Amino acid sequence: MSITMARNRRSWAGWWFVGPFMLVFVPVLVAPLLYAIYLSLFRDSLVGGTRFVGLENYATALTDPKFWDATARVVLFLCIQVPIMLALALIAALALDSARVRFVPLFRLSIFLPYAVPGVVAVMIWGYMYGDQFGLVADLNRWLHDVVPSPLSESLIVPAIGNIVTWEFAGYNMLIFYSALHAVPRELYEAAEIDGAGALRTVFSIKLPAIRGAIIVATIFSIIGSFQLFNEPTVLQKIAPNSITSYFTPNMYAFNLSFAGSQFNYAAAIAIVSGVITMIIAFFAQSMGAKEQSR
Amino acid sequence: MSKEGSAAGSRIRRNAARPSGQPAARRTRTSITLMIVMTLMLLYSLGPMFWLLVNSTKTKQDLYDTSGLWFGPTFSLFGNIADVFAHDDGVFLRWFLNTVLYVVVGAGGATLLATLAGYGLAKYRFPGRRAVFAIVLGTLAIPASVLAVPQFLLFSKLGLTNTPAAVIIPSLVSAFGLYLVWVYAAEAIPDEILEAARLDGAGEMRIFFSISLRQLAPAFITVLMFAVVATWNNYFLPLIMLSSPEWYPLTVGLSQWASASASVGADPIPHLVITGSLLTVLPISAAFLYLQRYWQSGLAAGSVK
Amino acid sequence: MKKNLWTRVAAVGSASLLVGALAACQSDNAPVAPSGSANDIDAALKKGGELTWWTWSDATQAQADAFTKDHPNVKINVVKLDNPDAAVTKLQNAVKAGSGAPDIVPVEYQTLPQLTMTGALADLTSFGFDSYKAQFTASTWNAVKVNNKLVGIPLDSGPMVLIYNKNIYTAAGITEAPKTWDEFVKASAAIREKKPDTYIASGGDAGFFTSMIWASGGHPFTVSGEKVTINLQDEGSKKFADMWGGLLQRGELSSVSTWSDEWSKALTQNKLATLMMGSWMIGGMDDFGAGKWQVAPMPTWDGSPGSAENGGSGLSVTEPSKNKALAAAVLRFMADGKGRDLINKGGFPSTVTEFTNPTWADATFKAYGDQKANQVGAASAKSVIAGWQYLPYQGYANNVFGDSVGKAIGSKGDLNAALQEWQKTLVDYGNAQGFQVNK
Repeated sequence: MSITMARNRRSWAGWWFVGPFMLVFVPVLVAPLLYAIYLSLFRDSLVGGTRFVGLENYATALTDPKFWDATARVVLFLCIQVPIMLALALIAALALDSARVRFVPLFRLSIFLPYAVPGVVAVMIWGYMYGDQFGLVADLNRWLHDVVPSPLSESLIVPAIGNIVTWEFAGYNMLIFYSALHAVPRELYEAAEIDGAGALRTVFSIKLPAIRGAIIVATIFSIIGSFQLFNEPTVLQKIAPNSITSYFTPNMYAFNLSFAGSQFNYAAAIAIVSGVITMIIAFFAQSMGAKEQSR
Repeated sequence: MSKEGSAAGSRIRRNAARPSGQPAARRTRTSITLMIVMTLMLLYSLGPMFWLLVNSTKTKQDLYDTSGLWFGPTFSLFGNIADVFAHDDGVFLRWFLNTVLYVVVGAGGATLLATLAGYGLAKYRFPGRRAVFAIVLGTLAIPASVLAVPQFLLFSKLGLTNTPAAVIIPSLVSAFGLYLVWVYAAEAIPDEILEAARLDGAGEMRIFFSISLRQLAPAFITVLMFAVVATWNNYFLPLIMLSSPEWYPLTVGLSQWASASASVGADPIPHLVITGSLLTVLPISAAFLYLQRYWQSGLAAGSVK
Repeated sequence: MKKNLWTRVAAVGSASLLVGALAACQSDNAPVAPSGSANDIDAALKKGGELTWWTWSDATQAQADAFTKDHPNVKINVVKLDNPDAAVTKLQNAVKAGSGAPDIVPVEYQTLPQLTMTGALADLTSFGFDSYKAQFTASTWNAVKVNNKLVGIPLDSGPMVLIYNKNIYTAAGITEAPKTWDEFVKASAAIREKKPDTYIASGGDAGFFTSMIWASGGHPFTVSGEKVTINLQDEGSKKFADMWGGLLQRGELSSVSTWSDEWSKALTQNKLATLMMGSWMIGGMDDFGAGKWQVAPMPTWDGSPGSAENGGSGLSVTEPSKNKALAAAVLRFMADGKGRDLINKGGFPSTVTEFTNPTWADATFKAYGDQKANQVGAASAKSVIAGWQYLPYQGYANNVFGDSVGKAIGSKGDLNAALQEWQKTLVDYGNAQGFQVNK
């Protein structure tokens, strides 16, 4: 990111602008974060009360198979779902931008519309359709003679959630890419066409490099989003309680530990470790992107 | 002042935006393959919406009795809508108004704060600037539901839980919005204009509102739309912060209706949940339809370089 | 609005500097007001005041209205929550946060020990409610006594009954409800043979499992103060797990989740033949088809009556309540006064006198034709096996049930192995929480 810093004087004037934001940001996010760190240094039990344990909770977290199970699941999720979703979004954006598709506004809006559906409602709709005994999958199986396996079974629940997330966010990412493509100067295409480049070559040699920044940003936010996966599995758990464990994602694990297990302290440690892992991966993705760019 | 404004407009390396929906190269033919691909994606996107629409026309009995794929024998969409607004003494309308309140104050405030701060970070050097940036970006990766417990405890100490403030205050923060405005402002507002304005004796706030804000309009609209969607769909935080239904937003209210069947002494109302969901999706979709043309140019900002 | 908001933002800002101090506050939740005696209740009633009453039932508002009609100087804010789990979570949060707790809250019998343990519920012993003991069923009164403290009064109750779709059973050649589990297993096979897409029952959740183990004569949880014994492989647990696991592995149990829309659909479309639930469900079947349902006693191992409680809840006063005596007045009204009639109208009663009340006992329901279904429930209440205990952290136990047993149900796995896995989680958790579990 090449931000050309202004020749502005170094003064306090900037705080007039940043101040109001920070005034909300600090109590709403920073203070709870510090509080979470503070909490993570203690252990509270139903019998015996609270005691200071130092970093013991972190030691426990790092060797907690449930935590790593959850982390492995979201890593798997993001390795598969994020590329699929972004590829779909990219294909759609490139198609809309290619001038070889009609009814562009219709497609653009329709594909984007799922983003407007509240996550709770989205899961409810898909949850119904996933029903393999009395839902839509059951209807399909009656026609197709049991070829569709149950999306709510333990083995397919991760792809099933991946599908919901893809449905919700593919259009949103498509719009980001589409807008970025819009910003690519015309002259670049024209030059390529004069050189006799085909449509596909234009895509790979001009369009994709031109919107690399957008792709990196979308990737990073999708990675963070995957790690924070919570609403979809939690709401889906009501109809598939046998496939979604209480430690399905790191976030769910932390939430269930604190709200069902009253282990606020340990949950805070889990949350912080999970946040750090997210930051590392996001940073890694960003520097990979930056490296490519500088090459 | 207006002179500077127009000068600014011409000097900006504005992205070569085309009017939407009118790709320049009309020479190329329509590709059948691409049309098929896009139609499949359209069906994928709209299929579940179709399900929602079909099932919101059904009576409760038909929901249980008939296949979800097609309309039932009785068309009771309007009856359902009337029931949605009548159920529990019309609490749905209350939830709707709550949601509007949260969106207007929360999303509006978030956009304003993020725009101010993003602009400040992009255009001013000030003590603590780096720290602010590091903290804001650092917190992006911290899961929101993780902060929920400490947030709840803090708000609770202040007596703010179960008040609209408990929903609004946290939604005033949009770190992503700040990032977006920051990147956009760095590109779209040349420092020379600001310097020129300062030489004319304009104060910093005056410069912002009379010159910079106009340049930031696309980013502002984008952040606003993100914030509106985020607030409209906000579920987790209100669920924890609020205990009385009178302050619920639509999402939490609907999920309460949905789980009403999961306990004794409550009548299951799936038809109202489905129709209520449809009524929740419609206004935000309409807002999209209306605002998306403004939205186009702003989104590109997040991706410059 | 805006100004107000900013004032509050500022307040949060300054408060956030005191994070450390805040954290210190949480541990010393000094009791706000002591519990009192019966005389204190009358004094509180005279004085009047305002109470908050959480609930998940549609019937509560009418009960509160009846109370305030008699006592116009009392104002009751009824707050409706999603479901019992939400009530527990929110109550624990509020207690931890030190503010926002209601005065009166319904609590499921199974979570009473946990909430008592975490200091969320007030000890009502001194109010003299013990005189009501005789009017309640033994199992519900037993449930509201935790560690010799009275922590609530029974609202409804859930002696288990078998609710079955007689059309499905008849079509499979079964004319009578199964009396033993052997007959139940045979019925399942018969139904399966006749209609392969129909299931005798669904896999079940934590509440169902514990109740079924109870009904099979198991005592997996023994609690005495901080000493806890967990044995999910005792005779009763094993008997149930073997039988249920057999059905599961033969693919005869539906995977549909109880209370989901799909479940409602399955009941309506005659794909799910049986529910085994607390008697409160007797009144809740009308939506799923008229005349086709019947209520029968639970099957047992030897054919002689034996039952368990499933669900049901008591009404408690919270420890943070600032007006415990007035809240206790509402409980007294619900235990004895007109409130009792309103409770019994909405749910399945926990009072023995109601069982012989002809209006109640002879009531008929749309779902069962002319069957006097309530009488089956009343008979079940009398045959509930005594001595059952829940864990002092049953809420957590139920929350992680899906991780082991639920998983086995989903994958048609070995239920006994899954119960052992569940047990291990519960032993570890209990010990980490300072209990002496299996030691």
